Amino acid sequence: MNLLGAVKFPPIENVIEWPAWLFEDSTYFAFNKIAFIHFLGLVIPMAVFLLGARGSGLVPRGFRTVSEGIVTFVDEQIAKPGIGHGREPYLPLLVSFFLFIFIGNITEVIPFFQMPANARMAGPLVLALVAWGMFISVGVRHNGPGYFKEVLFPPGVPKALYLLVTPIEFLSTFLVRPFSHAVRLFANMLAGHILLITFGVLCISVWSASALVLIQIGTFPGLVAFTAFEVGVSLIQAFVFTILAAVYIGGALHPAH
Amino acid sequence: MINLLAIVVAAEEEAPPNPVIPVMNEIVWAAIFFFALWAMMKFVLLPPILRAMEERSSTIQSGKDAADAATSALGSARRDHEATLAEARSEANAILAGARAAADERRAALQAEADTEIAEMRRSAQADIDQARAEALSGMRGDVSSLAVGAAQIVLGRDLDAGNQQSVIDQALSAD
Repeated sequence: MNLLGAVKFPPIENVIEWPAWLFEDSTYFAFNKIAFIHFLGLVIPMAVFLLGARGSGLVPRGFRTVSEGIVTFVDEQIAKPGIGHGREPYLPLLVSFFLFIFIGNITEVIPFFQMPANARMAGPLVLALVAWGMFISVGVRHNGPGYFKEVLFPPGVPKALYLLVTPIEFLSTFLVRPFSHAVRLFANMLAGHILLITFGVLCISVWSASALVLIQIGTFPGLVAFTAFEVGVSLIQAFVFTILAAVYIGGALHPAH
Repeated sequence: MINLLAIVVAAEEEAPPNPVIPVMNEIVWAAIFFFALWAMMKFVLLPPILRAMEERSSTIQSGKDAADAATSALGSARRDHEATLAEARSEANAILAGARAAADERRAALQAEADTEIAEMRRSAQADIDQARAEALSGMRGDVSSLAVGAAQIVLGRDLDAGNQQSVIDQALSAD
């Protein structure tokens, strides 16, 4: 699409279709840029935590400080308010969610990557399904089949209203929740990515069109500001996804609350 | 009908891909890497970090407990010290009072002894004075008699018997 004569936005396929680096494009194991970012989501936390585990002494230093900071943050700011008592077994999952998502998001502003893996639906969907499976299994393990009764027939509701409440609870808790959980992350990251593309394309186009160079005064600071904004969004979306997972698990663990 | 189906299929093929539909290869890799991270986090990565945090927490707690115990011991030692100090102070006061009483007693004894000695000395001095006075008076009486008799002889122009006049002179001197 041409705009202002010089501005040419890339087609949406550029954000969606990623050619395979390894294996055939059409196979289930086609390894593309998105898969590589997910691979970094595994390797970087491993490196940080393994280097952190080598440190010793009463006062943490270097990678130990980073890894302990992450664990403390997830425990204090996410697991404690989301799950509360009995949260310890779920800390590895929550730390994994947070780091995997954050790394999948922050590549949006890292040169040569400039693409958040979570702007693709696959990653958020996998993570949301894990969270979904986890909170249902936690609910059943801790409350037995009565968990479904607790969720579908909330106590204190007049019996006649169950006709309305039960289908809504079934839809919202067991069907819609994983998709809303995934789409929230995916849509935010895709929107942020498109925003950065828009400002980047505007900058390039305006720079090449001398008559419009004055607009650059607005577009370039806009690009810088939105890049900084997207750093915050990367962190916030990782936090939001993880705390929602914690709240779902906490709700399944203590359904009466 | 077949033509219509062919048109729909062609339209679907030409339509841009839907960004909301996940692709299988990305699902597979995301699942593999995420489950690997979760397993590593649960069994390898997190335990040493949590253990170190726990150890630090228990070290800090034991240090805190030791500090509390030391504070408590300090308070106890301070109380003991204050009790000892109070006891020593009271003992010192008692010693001081005893010493003061002994000193007062000694002073009174010395005072009494000195008073006795002074009185004795005064008595002795008075005796000496009395004796000297008596001696002086006796000596003076002889001189005064001879002077008075001499003066009377000059006034009367005749010799007087000093023995006869002595009683008159003694009477006059005694009148003092």
